[in-house]
Amino acid sequence: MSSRDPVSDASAPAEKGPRELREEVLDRGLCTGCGMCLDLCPYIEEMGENIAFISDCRGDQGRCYAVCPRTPTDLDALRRFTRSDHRSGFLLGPYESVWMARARDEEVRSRAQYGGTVTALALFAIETGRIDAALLTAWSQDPDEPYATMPLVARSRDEVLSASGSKYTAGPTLKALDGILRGDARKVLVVGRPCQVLALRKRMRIEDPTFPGERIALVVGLFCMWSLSYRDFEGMIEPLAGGRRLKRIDVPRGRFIVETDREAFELDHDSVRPHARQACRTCFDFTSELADLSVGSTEWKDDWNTLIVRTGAGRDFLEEAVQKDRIEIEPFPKDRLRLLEEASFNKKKRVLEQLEQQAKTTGMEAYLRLSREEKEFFLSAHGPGSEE
Amino acid sequence: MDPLEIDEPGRRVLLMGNEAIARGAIEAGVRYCAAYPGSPSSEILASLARTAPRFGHYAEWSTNEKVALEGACGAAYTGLRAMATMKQNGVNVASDILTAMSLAGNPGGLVLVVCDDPGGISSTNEVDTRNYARLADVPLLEPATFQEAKDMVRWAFSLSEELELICMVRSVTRISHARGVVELGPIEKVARTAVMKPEQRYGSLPPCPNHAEVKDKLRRAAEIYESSPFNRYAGPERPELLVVTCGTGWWYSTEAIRMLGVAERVGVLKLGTTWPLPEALLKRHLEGASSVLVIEESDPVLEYNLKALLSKEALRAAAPSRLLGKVTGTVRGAYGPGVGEMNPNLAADAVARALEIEAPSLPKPLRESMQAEIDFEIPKREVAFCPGCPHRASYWVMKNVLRLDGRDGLLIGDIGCYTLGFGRTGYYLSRTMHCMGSAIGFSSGMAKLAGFGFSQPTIAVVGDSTFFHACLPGLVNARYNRSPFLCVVLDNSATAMTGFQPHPGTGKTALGEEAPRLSIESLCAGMGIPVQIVDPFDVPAATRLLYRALQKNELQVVVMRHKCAVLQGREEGLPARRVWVDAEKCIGEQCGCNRFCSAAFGCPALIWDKEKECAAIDEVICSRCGLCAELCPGGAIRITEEEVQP
Repeated sequence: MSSRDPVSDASAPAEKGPRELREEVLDRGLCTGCGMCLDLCPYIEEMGENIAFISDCRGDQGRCYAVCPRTPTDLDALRRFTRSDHRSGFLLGPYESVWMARARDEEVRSRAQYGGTVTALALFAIETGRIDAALLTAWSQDPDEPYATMPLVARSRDEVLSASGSKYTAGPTLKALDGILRGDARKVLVVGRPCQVLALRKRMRIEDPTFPGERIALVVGLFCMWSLSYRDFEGMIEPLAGGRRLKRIDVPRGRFIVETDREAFELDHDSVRPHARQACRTCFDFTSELADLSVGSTEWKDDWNTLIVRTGAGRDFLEEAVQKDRIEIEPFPKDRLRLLEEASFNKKKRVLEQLEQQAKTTGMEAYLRLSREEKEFFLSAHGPGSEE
Repeated sequence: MDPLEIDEPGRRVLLMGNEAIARGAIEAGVRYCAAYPGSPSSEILASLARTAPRFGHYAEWSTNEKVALEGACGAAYTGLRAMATMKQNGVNVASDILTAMSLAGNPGGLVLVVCDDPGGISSTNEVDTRNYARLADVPLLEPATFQEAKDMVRWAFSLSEELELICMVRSVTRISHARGVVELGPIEKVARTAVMKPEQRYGSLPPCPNHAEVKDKLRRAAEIYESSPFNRYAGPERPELLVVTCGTGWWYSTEAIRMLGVAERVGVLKLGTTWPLPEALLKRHLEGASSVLVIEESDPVLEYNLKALLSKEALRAAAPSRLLGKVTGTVRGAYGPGVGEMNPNLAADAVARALEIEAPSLPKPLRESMQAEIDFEIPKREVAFCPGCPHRASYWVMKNVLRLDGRDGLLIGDIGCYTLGFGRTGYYLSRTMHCMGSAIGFSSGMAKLAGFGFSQPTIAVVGDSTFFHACLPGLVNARYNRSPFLCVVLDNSATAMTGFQPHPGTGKTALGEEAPRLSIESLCAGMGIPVQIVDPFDVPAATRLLYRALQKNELQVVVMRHKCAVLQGREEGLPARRVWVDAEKCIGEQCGCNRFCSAAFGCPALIWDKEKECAAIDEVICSRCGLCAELCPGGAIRITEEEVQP
């Protein structure tokens, strides 16, 4: 099947296309801003993290619909496709192991968020020639948009380091993927939010295994509870940052701290949160369950990350990075794991209930297609403890 | 030799109606001519500008019609013969000075030529400006032939001088834009020195005595009209039906009578002097006519005035038992009476109705009769931006920006080439389209409505000529009252829609002289309005710039500047390159394209090759701008530098 062939995917009905993408996703404010559809289609464009059809496509079916993380999503089929282990249960998605992790490199740790694990993984991959480029999200260089992000195709240490640090708006980084793959990069590492990892797996599943599938060496997923609407974020930041470039944002345990190259200031976390994208309220996955490796904060030790190993590819990669002394790992304490599971459970339960409710009121089936077993696990239980 | 420059009285030449009007002014020794372009009037000033070196008169494209009439008025105050020309919309702009200056009069002959556009063939309305003659108390002449177009304009100057009152001549599209044989007259050698003497004062105060004086002037005009050769009767001595008509109505009536074969039963009274009406003449012809039918273009102006006249005691005896026309519905077109353009068939229908006879089968409209001759359907031609038009690029960018912005933003437009933004070629983007500069006023109002829940961002779109014509007071207003909207000036360096006349931003005058080039951005900056300039052909940069501008809640101007493709082609020819489709690379109708170039972008030069199932370029009309090559998602549209046979 070539990239031009019409869609044939069991999880996304082939008869659907741009019209339905607009009606079911964009018009309902459910676009996550992942960017996956952008490079596939000239009719869809992005500006200021708003994604829209600039013209009406006459097509009845399209990859735009098939790859979208908010169109019908058969999670089990995607898990099988990703070859991730199922035995771990439903709470954090399939995984093999969970670790405390951090970069060995002091410079990486000082510049990156928490333990700098993602930066260290990307550096390791590039410096050892495992990949030709890493698709990362950096702060925009456009002086007109000092608070925006941009996709960064990193090929050197400096470039990887320049993209370090978490961003809290929905940069559509995946729009740069096809450009890299059509270029000279044979193997790439992709770092993305959970919605981006989901879109990427959907894309890989419907297209030829040689493109983009085999060209993607590793998918590193980030933990993500929500992303802010860029327009709202700009409105909140502008009076404080006054057009100065942002250096770092940190959201430690109920705070929202922004650093520019001159000063740091804090926004009231509770008043920031309502400005999350609407799509984030329908997100079932905060730990990037379809990634090879998932990385996030520990909500505990600020110079460490939580790292979840989900696939064989992820395990092999981590083992080498540890062996080559690039990543340092420690066992993840059981009581901390319990807290992580609880956070995930609460989000999943809340979202599932909401999706069920919406499906009832709108008469439209929710995008998320779960096995009955998984659905009931969350809807009937009261906490992670009842799994056992 | 230019027929307008021939100085041989009695020589018969073929002239366009608008040229005949210009020749009439030349024969009258006109010294000052001013106009703002607008179809169907533009060729009058163009002809006068062309012949200015030969006859020594002055001609200018004014920045708008009010200024044109005021300039002509100023010249008339110094004793010169002066003329202003415009289309019907222009009289609305000039009406303020028209209704004021008529009260005070003028020493030099002053003529206002208005070319109306019944049916709105090239206009946003079909206003009948004859109503202004009564409104402003000025004499009105209506030519029915090309000869009359010349002769009436010539005569209008002496009438104006005799009455010391501006005189209005009303033409319509079918006079202005058709051609006919005109016998030339002598060219008056008027040697006057322009001077305004100490005792000359022109003010409309006090209004009532001045107004009374104008009424007197009109009474004198009516007396003069009684013996005018422009009013004439043809037909039987005692017609069963008297057709009273004027202007093109005379052609249509004459043709209708011939088509119906009723010349023995129907007489035609053609009036050339339609305001005020010549009372005695009308009385003479109406007496004994039991049925009268009024046939005229547009509004029933002559008809109403005739009805009003017949209510006078002195004329009551002459009143016919039946007075038919648009009021009675006897004269009516597809949209009903008083709407749309007249034609011979409509006149024949009306005459047949008045005579209560069956109308014979009338000639079919051209399109229908041609269709009957051929075995394929005549393709419908859509109004569209030309291939390579920078406005298409600008509308493409504005559409994308409004969609990406996602707040149901509005594009508030007005008139110029960008009027087409109302239709498919402009992606149906314009939400308003009325008169020059109104986009600014509308937006200025809408952007003040935040307190009433209005949250849609607004882009006001105006052209470069429109900017100078009617946008400055609106922008001053918006700046003064802090109305936050984005004004986009589509600067294609031409008054393109009306035929590429120069304007204050082009650095040229009507006479072809170098002129100071007024800068739109400096004018805006002078008002304290932030202004940015972008080339709409740089789609990514223009999109970013406009999107960013729209995010700011403040008054801003963005000039989207790129020369009109037609003008570019005329001045420098087409670039030596070829734009073509690489069929191998064309994604065509598959996912990832779906005929993006022809279906979404929609340049008329982008077509679909049904046999090869891929996009193609119609090289006959392609302007080789190459924008489609940048938009093509498959990289299939290619540009190669090479000489191309035209």
